[in-house]
Amino acid sequence: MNLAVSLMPTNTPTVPSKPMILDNLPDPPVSNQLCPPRTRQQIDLILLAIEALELGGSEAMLYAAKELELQDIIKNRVVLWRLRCTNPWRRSYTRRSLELEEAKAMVVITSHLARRMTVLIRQLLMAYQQLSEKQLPLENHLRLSEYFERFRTHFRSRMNPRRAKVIAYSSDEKLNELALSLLNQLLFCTGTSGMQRFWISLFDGEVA
Amino acid sequence: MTIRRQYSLPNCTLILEGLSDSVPEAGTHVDARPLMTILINAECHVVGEAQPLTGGREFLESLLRAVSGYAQQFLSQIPHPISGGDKPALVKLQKLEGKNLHRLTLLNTSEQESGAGKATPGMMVIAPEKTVQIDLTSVQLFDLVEAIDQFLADSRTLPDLGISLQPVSRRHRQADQPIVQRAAPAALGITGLALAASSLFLLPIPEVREPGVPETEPDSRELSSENSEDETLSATTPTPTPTPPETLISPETANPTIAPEASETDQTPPSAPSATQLREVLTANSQITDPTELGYLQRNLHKQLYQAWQNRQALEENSAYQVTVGKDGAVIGYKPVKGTPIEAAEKTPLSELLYIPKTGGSSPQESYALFLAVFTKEGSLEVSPWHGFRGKATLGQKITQATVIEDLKTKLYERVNEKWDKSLTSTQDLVYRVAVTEDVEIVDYQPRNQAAWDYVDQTPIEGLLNPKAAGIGSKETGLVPQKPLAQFRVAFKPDGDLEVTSLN
Repeated sequence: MNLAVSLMPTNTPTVPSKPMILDNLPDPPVSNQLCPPRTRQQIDLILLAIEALELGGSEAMLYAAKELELQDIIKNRVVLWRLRCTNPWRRSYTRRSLELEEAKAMVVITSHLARRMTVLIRQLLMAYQQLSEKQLPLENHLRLSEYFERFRTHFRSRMNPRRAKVIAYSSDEKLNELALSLLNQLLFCTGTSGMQRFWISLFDGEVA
Repeated sequence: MTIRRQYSLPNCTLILEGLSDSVPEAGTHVDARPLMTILINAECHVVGEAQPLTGGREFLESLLRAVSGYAQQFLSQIPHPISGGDKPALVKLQKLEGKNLHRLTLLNTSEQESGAGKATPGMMVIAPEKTVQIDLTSVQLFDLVEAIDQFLADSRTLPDLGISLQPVSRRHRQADQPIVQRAAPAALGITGLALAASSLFLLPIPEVREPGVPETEPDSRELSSENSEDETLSATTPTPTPTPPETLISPETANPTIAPEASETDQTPPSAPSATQLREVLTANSQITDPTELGYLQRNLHKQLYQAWQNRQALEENSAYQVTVGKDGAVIGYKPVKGTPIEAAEKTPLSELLYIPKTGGSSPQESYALFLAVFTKEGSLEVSPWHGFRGKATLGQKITQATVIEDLKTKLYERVNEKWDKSLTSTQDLVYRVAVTEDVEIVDYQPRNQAAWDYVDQTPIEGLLNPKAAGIGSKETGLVPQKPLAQFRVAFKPDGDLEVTSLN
């Protein structure tokens, strides 16, 4: 007897009490429970990509924090903003580090929001693939060009162009590449183990 | 009884066929999803490809390792070594540069053939030595990863197979930018420095400016300019820039004198001692001239301005200011040097840093020092004492006993090393001068290179700083340390090494 079982992605994350959802993410071997700069930068950038995808993205993040019972860590807009300003690329860089728990909370939120936008993310990535195969400009796809444009605007208004690494993204092409790579990362966040994969990838090259 | 498990995604389907070697316990209900423990055949269908990738357990294990590792590499852009121990890597994934495609390669081995033979007869067209290549789009790659993750999450199918996700070590991180890009900021920095230097060169050197005659007085102006010109000629002071001193002084206020000489007081008309003059006389004594103290104040001001200067784009022109700093290092006043528009101050951190005494204008007279601060439009900052250094600046009292220094060196290393998380995004070493007391308290530090300024927040130095331990910052003694210190050179290296050497 052949038993065919087809599993659909488990798209509904269960919402356990506060610490448990963070337990899904292992503690990487970093010292002092603090995130290295690249981790902070990546988290802020992926949230920036969410904002570019969805109008009112920052509202959605706060709402998600509430839904996921993370409001003890992300109490309000100001706290979220401060956490994001630990990204060294920011104009308003706060020169403080990010605790693992805070980073985890933001990654959980990222993954939660990405899962809700799975269809959109897939559509945009497939549209991009088609356009680039046919060598058509991005403007041919309204929703896609909108994403890129919003991302560029957000990036330029918030990142400190004096930083060497930010200078590297001064052209539209480079920023589009970054936006595309973040969109791909968001797609991976939607997966069964996507949240863990994304989380672990944040510490690549940062551990001994 | 063959067990078949299928994990379907829009672009990719993973089908596993196998057996269970666990005999259902007698009397238990029939298991709807029996545990698959033995794999017979694995098939991976990619939409758009006529033939599936097939194979046995080795193929599946290799597929898991390759896909999972590549997924992590795709996310972080940092290469993941695929280590399968001694097992052959049948499946490989590599990025096709510039195409957003990922090439999946399956090496065809004899094991493959036997597996393939069973799956579809059509598979046999592939010659044994040939390999199968499929170019996946990013969405297809994701579906493949997802199929594998769903299989791994399924505890009823081959539970002995698993992948542990681990961040890769720093060793695998390559320089994230090509050399040209990495050199660009350095080149920019050097150009900036050169520009700042040249702009400073154009400014007259403050020291040689003839002090004394306030310019606010119309009647004395003519006289004074004549006299001062005569004086500079007769004194034959070597002046690198022959710009007349007037260019420096903003018309409304004159700078206090350093040490008024008798001849100069003679020049001023005795009948009209102006308010400015009186102020000069009153304040001249309290101006700080000790080079060591000036040095500490200078470094302190530089640090304050550097850290507070956020928007370094805003300046359209280089802006130069005369900044008055109190004994405790607080900015108590500033004014633009001629040629710098007044509004430009808003674009510098000066207005933010300005200390306004709570008691209003009647704050007790304190001693002060004057500095020239130049903010360039390229975003670099220069701070120098307005009147230059008179004499050699030191770093205060020194600890001289070699054994004590050696001991402190070890302790300082331990102290810093313990607090440092060993991660630097800088590709350069960060070099600092660090001063410690006998009790290994870090009381002062100074970045020695540009990277050390830029990445100071990635070091634990600022957190360990405790100037009070040497009496720095007290009301009476200002910023000069009151205890003997040992000076060290501390270098943080991008690979996580720490180097401490004595500067004594």
